[in-house]
Amino acid sequence: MNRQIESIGNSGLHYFGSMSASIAHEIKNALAITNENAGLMEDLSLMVIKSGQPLDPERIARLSRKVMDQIKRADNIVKKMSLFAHSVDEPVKEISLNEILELTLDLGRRSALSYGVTLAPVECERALSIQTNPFLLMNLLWLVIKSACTRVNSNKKIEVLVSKEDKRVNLCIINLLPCQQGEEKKREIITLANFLDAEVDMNNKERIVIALNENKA
Amino acid sequence: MRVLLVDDEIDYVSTLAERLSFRGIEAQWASCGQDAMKYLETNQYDLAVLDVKMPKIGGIELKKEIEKKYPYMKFIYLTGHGSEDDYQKGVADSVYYLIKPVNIEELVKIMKKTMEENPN
Repeated sequence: MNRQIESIGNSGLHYFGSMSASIAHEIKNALAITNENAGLMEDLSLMVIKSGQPLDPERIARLSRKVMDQIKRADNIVKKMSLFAHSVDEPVKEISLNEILELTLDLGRRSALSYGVTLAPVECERALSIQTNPFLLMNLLWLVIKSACTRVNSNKKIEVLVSKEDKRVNLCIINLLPCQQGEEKKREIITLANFLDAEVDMNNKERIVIALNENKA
Repeated sequence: MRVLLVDDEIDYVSTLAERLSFRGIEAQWASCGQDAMKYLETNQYDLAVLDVKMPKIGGIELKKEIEKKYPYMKFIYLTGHGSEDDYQKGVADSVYYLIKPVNIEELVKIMKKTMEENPN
């Protein structure tokens, strides 16, 4: 029991740290672009003072729009960061599976890109909700998706298909190649899945399936 | 000084290139390692400024690829990441390692210093 809790704790901390670093990196990029565009506006203004040549107002308008775009980008990132931070508020909660899945993929997109992999947006016919630990579910989803990134097929695009079967919700990660999963990572995933009363099938050659109970008390 | 800038954020790297040109530095930008290697085939550069974290091939791996073919080139790392691990890699590589957002005058100073410290 202690080993299980230690494994889940370590996994959670690692996930939280990894996503926090990724978020920080994204915000830094938005700040860097804002810095350069604001700096360019300053450079152009100084050139006008020096040379007396008129400033192109359309150019300034374009640069201003770029600054506003990056502010919007950073704001979106911070909103997601806040949702992520609040995922630890309650140990069990009824949540929208669609939203949790989308948030997990959004947070992980840049990490996936470092593997040369894109994560397709979630397509789900209907809204699905489950009762579970939101943060640990995101952790499990990310562990599985990250594992999938190391075995994606030539498509280089991971898709998650969502379906419902009685009281179970299945998440099917497709476009994979057959690959032997490392034992340590497999144990980490299974430990987390067991805690969440979920099942993860990693034995299929071209897909990984996560089966979730609709109601985890 | 002819500089090659490599960063996957196009809005960042293209604007940086323009600002450097206002300061008398000829700068070409590329948004990935593949494009950078293509530019290197047809143009000569003194210095490459590389973003550390890029999809597919990051700055540290790209430096190794460039050095194999163009051993005379000098390098600077740029990153938004700022991890101690990446900093140590920069130190081990004897490469300046700057964290975004960068003050452009500081960047120009480091570029000139890099060229002076490692003359061809």
